[in-house]
Amino acid sequence: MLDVKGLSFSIGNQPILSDVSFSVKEGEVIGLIGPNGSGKTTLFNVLSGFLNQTSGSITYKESDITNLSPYKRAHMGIGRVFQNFGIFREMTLEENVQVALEALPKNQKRELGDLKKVVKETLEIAGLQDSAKKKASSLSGGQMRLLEIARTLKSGNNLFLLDEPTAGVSPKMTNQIADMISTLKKDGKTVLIIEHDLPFIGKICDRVIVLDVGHIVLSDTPQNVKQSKELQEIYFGADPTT
Amino acid sequence: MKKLFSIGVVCAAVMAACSPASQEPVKIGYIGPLTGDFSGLGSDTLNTLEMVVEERNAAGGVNGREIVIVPADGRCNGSDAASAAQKIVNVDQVDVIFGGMCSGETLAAAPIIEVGEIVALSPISSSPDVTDAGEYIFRNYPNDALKSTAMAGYFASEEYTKVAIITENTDFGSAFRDAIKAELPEDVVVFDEVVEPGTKDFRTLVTRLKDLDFDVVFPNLQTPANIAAFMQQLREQGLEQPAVSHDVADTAELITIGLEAVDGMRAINVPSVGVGTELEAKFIEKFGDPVMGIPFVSHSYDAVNLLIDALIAADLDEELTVRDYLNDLEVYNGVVGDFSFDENGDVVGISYALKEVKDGEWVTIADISIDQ
Amino acid sequence: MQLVINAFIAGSLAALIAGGLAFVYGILGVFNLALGQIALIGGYTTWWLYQVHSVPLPVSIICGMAFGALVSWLIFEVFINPFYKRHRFLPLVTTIALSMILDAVILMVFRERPRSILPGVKEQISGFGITISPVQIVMICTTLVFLFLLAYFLHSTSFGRKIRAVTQNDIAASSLGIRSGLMHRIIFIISGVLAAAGGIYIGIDTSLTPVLAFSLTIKAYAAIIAGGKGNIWGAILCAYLISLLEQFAIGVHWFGTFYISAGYQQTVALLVIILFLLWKPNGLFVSSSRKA
Repeated sequence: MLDVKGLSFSIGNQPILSDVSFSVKEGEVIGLIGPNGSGKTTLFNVLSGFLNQTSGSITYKESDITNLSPYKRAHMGIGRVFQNFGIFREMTLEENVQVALEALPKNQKRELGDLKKVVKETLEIAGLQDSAKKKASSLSGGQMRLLEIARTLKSGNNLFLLDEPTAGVSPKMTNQIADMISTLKKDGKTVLIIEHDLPFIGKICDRVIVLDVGHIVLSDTPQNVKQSKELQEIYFGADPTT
Repeated sequence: MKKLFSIGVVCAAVMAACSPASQEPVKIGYIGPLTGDFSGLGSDTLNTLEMVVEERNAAGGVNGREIVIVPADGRCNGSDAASAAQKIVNVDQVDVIFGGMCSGETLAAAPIIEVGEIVALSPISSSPDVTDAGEYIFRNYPNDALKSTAMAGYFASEEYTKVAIITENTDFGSAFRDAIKAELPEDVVVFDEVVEPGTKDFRTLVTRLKDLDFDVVFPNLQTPANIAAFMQQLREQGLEQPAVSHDVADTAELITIGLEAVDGMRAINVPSVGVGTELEAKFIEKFGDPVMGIPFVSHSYDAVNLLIDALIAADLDEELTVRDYLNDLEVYNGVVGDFSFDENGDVVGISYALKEVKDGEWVTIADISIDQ
Repeated sequence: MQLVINAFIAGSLAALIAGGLAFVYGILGVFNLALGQIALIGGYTTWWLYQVHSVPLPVSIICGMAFGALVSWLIFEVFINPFYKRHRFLPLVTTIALSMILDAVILMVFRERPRSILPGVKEQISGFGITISPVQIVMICTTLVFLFLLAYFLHSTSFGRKIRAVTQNDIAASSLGIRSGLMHRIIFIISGVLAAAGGIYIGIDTSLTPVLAFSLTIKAYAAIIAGGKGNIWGAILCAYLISLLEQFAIGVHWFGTFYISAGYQQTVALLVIILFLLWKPNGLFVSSSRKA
């Protein structure tokens, strides 16, 4: 459903992504790992349209989305959860969900029916129904993450880009988040996850892509990746360029 | 006659084109507020300068040399005026300066002008400090110290013993405040507040005035718009005491904005010189109504003409400088009256008038002579 | 009591402009230093229609605000949109340049003369120890209604929620499918309407002069900094608060012995704001948020 071909991105003369190509099948859950600065978040930004690639193409569901603006990609069903929280701090939890639903294309909104009800359901998924009227800034990091994932979930997306969903989240909530992702998988949704938590990745992903200095160095099952020499080198070992 | 004249002009032009060195143009520098709050003052004075220079160039310039204008923007403040003076004195090397306009400009430009040994003649600067500004600084507008004397005399004659003063914190405003306070007996000033430049919200001060017993209020502000705002807010609160101000109030603008709020307001100013004269007609035809009023145009007109007379005299006589010419001047018959300069470069011979707003117009109701 | 009324008269003006500025600054993090000029353009347009062409006052006011909106939108397209994504301080430079250009244009078109939309004394009514004119009551009420409608629009309509979402987290909003580019334009247009309303307010209350613009902008900045970044209500409340402080600073007979000199009016008000900020550095009206 997603085809990335020869994607490159650079700032000035500094390449951040070089010739990244991969494809994702419908219903796959893919982990994206790599050391800090390897270009993971940049890749997400290019995929969701916030950064314009230097070269390469992106095809989503048979249509070329390479030059579409972020909101159009969102309308096509690409949802995103941000590393540094994509919530609106000065709005209530209720409004946070409501605004997301209201931003959907008209036909999808119609399918959802009563928005008020959907808002309530969404907050229940995140277990936050009791704080509906509170400002989002009063939440803990983990709660913010849950809210954001639940919101993305309910927006009828098909492809989810999750940027470090477990960072700074308590173990209990990490499990809750893992459960949510499993539900997504069951529903046949496609998920790309950036993570540092390798056990978490191993538990939920079908495939792992390893990124280093803007290149894809590995793309394999979680087990194989875990045992690979390359990964050891990247994370602990010698300079990978030598 | 006309034909002969135009032939003369052509000859002059040809000569100007052929003989370079000695026929260099004469430069008159200009310092005044071309932009900013007081740009109205700037446009009136610069327009007058342009008008006079055009007339005098048509009449042969300075002994055949063309007169050109080098304007610089002093923005009615010291720092801009100082850099304006720096530029026209040191870069453009002008022959004389017409300006500055605001007292703050003249005072800041004075040290630079003194070093450059160039005469500056201001048609408007009225701060008492200008008296001691320097050997090369002249003005044909009377010193505020005299106006404050006139105002204090007027208060005494009307038996006003409780005076409220509201001052805008500018060089002009605070100098006038100091001067009038020095002239009045100590316990006469019952209210004395200084506001930030540009203030238009006087409501709280008016609220305080409401609880106060006073005979007359003196809005000592820097622009007609501010005085109009003050008068509106004063009258809106139902305060009926008379209001007296100075030359700033004496404009048509004040009445356009203030309407009935300024009805009966009085001002002590130089006489409405130039009103109804040929000069007024000429100016209006060329530039439309002056922003700040024809008296400023009249003082400017005389000042520029006098400067050019001095340049001509100095050009003819190697021994004579422009400064000596002005110092030795017996009397100049100008639009504003017959005047000369004292040893400080201050004007001698200009009197004051008491004016009042009647039926939407300023009218002179009395002359106030000053004994110097 | 009269002091409070005075503060409302002065504060309503500041609130309109500060509200407009808070919109722009809060959303794009962009400084629009030409906002004061937009206020003047709105005011002058109204003056021109009403005083020169005898267009009825309400129509003139609406046209003034519409023109302010138009200018604001053009400013966004030409001077801000091409720049702000490259560097958030670039619009600072472009709008300073623009404000100077507009100053010159206003000076050229409307001349140095002060202009008043409603010159002269406004009829007064008294009671309860205060004196106020019906015109002022109308102006204060209109401002409050205007701000109330804005509040309703922002908080209770789907469109308003989208705008707030863009103000608070631009990127997250567009990843949800909100057209942030369109919202930016709308935000600029609203800020233009607010600023123009402020200019019309000045023109009715006192008079317009071409040089007012910069001091208007500076006052609005004081209000939004005190109110907290991106907090429109904080900015509006602070605008009223600063006015109240200014009026009380010089209007109260402190300890029954002295008045603060009117020259220190602004200084005192801003000092109080600075003290507040030392106590609450994120702005007076920002709820303290948990750190993740």
